[in-house]
Amino acid sequence: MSLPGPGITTPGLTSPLSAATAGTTDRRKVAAWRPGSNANPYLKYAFARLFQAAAVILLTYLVIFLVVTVIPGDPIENQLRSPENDFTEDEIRAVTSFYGLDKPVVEQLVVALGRFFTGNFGFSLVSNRPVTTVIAEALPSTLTLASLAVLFSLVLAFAIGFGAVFLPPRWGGRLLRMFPSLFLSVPNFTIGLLIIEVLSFQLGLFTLSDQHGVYAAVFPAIALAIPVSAQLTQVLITSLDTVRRQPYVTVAIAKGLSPATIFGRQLLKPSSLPVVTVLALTIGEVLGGSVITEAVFARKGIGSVVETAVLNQDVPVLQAAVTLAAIVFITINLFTDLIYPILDPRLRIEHASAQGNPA
Amino acid sequence: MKSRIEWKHAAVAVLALTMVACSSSESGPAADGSSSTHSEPQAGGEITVLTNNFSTGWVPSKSASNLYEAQVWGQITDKLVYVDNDGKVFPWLAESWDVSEDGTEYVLHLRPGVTFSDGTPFDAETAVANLNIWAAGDSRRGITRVALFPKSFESAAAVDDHTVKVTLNRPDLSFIPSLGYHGTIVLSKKTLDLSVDEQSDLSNIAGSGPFVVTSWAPNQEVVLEKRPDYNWPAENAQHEGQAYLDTITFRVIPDDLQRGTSVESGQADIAQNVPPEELSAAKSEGFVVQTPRFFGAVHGLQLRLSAQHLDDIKVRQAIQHAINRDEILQTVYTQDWLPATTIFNSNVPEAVDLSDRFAFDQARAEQLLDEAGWNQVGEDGIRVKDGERLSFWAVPTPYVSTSKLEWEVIAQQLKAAGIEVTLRNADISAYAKYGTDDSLPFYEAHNSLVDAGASSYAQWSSGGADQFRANDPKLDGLLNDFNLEQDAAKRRDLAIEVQEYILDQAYFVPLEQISQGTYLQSSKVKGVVFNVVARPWYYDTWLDQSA
Repeated sequence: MSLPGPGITTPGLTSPLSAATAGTTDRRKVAAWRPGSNANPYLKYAFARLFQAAAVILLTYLVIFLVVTVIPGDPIENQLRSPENDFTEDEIRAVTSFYGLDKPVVEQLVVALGRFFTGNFGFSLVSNRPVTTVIAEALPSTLTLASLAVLFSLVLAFAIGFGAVFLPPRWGGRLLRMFPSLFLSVPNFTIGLLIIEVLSFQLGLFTLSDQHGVYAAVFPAIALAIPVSAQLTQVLITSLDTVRRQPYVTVAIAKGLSPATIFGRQLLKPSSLPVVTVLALTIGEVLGGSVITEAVFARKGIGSVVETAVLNQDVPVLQAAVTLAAIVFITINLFTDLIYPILDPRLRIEHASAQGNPA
Repeated sequence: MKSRIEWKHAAVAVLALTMVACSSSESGPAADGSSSTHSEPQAGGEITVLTNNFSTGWVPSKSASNLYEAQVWGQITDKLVYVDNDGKVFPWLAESWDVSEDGTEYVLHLRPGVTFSDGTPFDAETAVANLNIWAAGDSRRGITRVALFPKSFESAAAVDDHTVKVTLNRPDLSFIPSLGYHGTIVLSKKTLDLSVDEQSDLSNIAGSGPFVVTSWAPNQEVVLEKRPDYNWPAENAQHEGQAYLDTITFRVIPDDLQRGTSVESGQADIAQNVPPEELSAAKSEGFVVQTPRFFGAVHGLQLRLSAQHLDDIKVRQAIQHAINRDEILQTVYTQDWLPATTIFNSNVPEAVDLSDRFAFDQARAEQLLDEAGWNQVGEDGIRVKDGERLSFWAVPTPYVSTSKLEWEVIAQQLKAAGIEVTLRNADISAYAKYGTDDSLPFYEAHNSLVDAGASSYAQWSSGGADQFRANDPKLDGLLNDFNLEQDAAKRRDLAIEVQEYILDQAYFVPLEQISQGTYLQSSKVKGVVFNVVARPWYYDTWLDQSA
């Protein structure tokens, strides 16, 4: 699944690992954006962002339509033309025209656009279920999976980050620093298959044939969280290392505070800022990863809806599902952009001084 | 130095985890299926059935004959007749029938007292509505007819509440059996009148079957519960009244191996479509493997004479004899599959054993190629004639999951005789395009039949799909006679003649008998029966708790 590039909503973040430093400078520029204007620059900035976001969502919707329409065949014809069947050309034409698939592409595009603007996404070409129902039925399962995965990856990141910075190298500190690369290089389906083999088939902790409730989501969430946590952990470790070299931390160590206290009181907050930025990017990864994780764990959800829609060329469902993913991704990035200054007082100062001294 | 030691620890940990993962195959439950064969059926219990997907959804006209969804349709709906796996017809919702002298009028006597799960009764009017939809569909509502439903059907009319008169436009012996094949599920009048979009909600669908839907989630699961008032099973059922099982849960697990392992680890009772290589291991551990025969053509290659080199009968015959079917069965399948004996599966009444006509004989194949002028062999082992290599291409069908593996074996076998085959991949859309391509050398046959005569005509005559592109008046004549002949003895002779002619002309290279849908079953599960199109019926199924 391709998602809109992060560059649009998170300027300057080409590599997640550079986020720690790049994010700060960029947002400083943002704060000083059009300093001469009388209007609140944040408000203007927010409107521009919202407009960009809407444009990206519309483009996503259109691109999906075009890509799938260019590929030969459609689900109705594929089914009717199966070698099992004996339908005549007239019969096939009658049914494809019922679904409007015999119309020129441009006309179909207009219909699709109409659906986009009215919010009525039509019906699945395969199962005939209303697209909004398909999405609404799949959403809770994916939300459970994704929130658990984000939660687990945060816990993992902070646990490993703490260990990497405070454990003596010989007691695992050095080993822990390798975890992000290890986690990033193991594909999540491998982790998923291992979890299924050991925890389900060997130990019977869960079954693939019963996937109701939050408990069933825990295991796929672990599989999804491990690779996702890698970036968070790496950024956190780098950030912790930087902050730890600050004089005030040396003072804290000299005062004899315990590592846990130093971590909790002195390091955690300043080191978390870049993590918040990366977390926003991570949401995209969680969405993408859920396609694979849901397939591996035979779970229903947006991921499996996308997978089935792609396999069956089910355009209306695919458009709606991918557009939803784009909306989520863009909204979260927008949200991050807007709350960043609240988390970092230095940006607020910049903002105030920018307003106070028009250049 | 220290970090190296830590690496070792990590490596050991990973290795240990992998070993745990690998040891799984030896520790499955050691169920024994032999001790409990004599116990009596017990009512009660729940089973879980795992399947590949339910992605086609629940619009009856779309999925009633689909391999996956049909498993559910078969439990929640009934048919007018039941045709068992041997092709024998049993009364079901039609208690009996009379045929007119000239064979064009059938009077169906319907079973009284049958109700649908929405409370409406099954009567003559409902039967007529169903017959009309099967025969013609309703394209204005996007409802397709039942594929392969006899074209001889002209009209149906209710005579009284429980009698229907069907008029055919010509005598057709296959009419009654076809009511028990694919797609002909009987639905309530209310259900038939719904739009396709309303039909897409499985909860809106009412059949008269022994089970009813209690809950369902799209492409994920369907939970069925037995109907307490059910009392109209087909005549071949082993008991009366309600079904034995309390509930059946169908659950989608897309991965083939995970379905198999779920049954082996006791997490489910039946898994559909477990790969052949996994089946033999499970069988030795006491699990039951079901490979119901399918009413249709064998899996085989239809040779297109319009493709390069295939207009030469000697080349076609060489291909026929260069393929080693035993090796294919051993490498790709298990002993549960049967070799092809003719162009039809052996449960088709017209099938005769002609396996000696296309037996594996590499020397014969090479001799035929020599005679055809392909007597020079290039450096790569491929035969050459007038500077041209004896090379073909093939597209494994996406409809048979083992086709690709099988083609890899075939390509090796043909190469041994000096024939090259390069393989191309195609998904369903791309494959549909190849299907109409005259230059495609081999088009795989795996189609179901309703009637051997009608289907042969539809597939192979130039008036039908013309799969051989043979332009052969003799073949057309034979197929036409086979299709229309109503005298049973003459029809049988014609059937044999058609099979012999197609094999002798090497238009068709049979591979193996199709077993559509393989099932891995826990040894506790008893009494599963399969109908003529290999779809399971769980009415008589029960759980043997002593197993």
